[in-house]
Amino acid sequence: MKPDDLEKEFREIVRDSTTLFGTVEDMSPEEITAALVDSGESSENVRNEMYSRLDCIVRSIRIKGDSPPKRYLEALEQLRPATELPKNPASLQQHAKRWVSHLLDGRSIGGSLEVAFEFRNRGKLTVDDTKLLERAVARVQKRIRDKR
Amino acid sequence: MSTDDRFRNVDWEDVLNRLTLRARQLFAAARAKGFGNALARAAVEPDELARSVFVAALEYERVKYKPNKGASLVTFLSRVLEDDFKDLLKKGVRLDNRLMALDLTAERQPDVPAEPRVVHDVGDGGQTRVIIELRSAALHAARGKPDLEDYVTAAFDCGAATRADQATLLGVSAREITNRRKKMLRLLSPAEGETPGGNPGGEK
Repeated sequence: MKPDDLEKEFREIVRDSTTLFGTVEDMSPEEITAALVDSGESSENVRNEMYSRLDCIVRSIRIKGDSPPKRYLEALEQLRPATELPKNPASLQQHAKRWVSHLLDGRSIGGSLEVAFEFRNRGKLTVDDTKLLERAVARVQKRIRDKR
Repeated sequence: MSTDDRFRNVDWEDVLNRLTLRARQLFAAARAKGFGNALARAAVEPDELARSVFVAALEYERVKYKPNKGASLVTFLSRVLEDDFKDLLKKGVRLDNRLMALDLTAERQPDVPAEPRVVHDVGDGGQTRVIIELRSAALHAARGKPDLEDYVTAAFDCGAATRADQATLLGVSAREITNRRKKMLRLLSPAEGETPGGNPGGEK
């Protein structure tokens, strides 16, 4: 096959895949999550993989003695799995808020919503941390009750 | 405007999810059109391609997003992903052709494990390759499922490119169109460990 023909084939793949599957820009976050679960790894696994890779990149920047740019840290914080609790109190609060919101909109799992409260490393939490988490639990439970 | 400012208030998880889905769509379409071997030779999975574009956006060297140009970050990175995907396919076709040329007379050893997702003795960039239209592959995959057959016909033969147009044409809701698109992607995405194949839609 000639290079020009191949190039044409590749352009057709891009065009026809949009015709058949739609444009990802037009889909809602819930539709995207559901489509990911349907076509391979779930959004949760996709996020965890990306977090590990980004974490390695940020570490390697720090090892060189540089400060990672803010955009890296923001992306890392947003992708942080629930089990990876940040040490910084402000980040911890952001983390909790994000996860409560993800649990409520079902975005993090893509399937039916099932909530299980489990705090790992509970012994390492300060009194303030515990209070913050308990308040978050109460808010989640109330919002779930209200939704029903 | 600093580089960090260009990425202010970005929902990174949403960007990652959309890029990953777009990559899976492209791989599914290419495999259905008969480029499965080339993709296997290129040795990159769709999720990895999406991750590499994500990282390139953060690095801001090869890929430079400028919000004042008008496109959203997802739209911009989707175009980058599509270009990277085409480069990957080119590399895969080149590798596949080279391996075919080197290996023409070699006999396969039955006790040597098969390479994942590679159909042996079949080149998908050479003279013998049969071009398969994505429409044909999609119709083949949808055979026996009238709702999907109707969807493929509406998308490819009736010029209904948007979800709204497809929904109007088929007299169903937009949500139903989303479901049918999801089913098509599932039908055309091989499960882990499967070889690309089938007929049509796989290698000849």
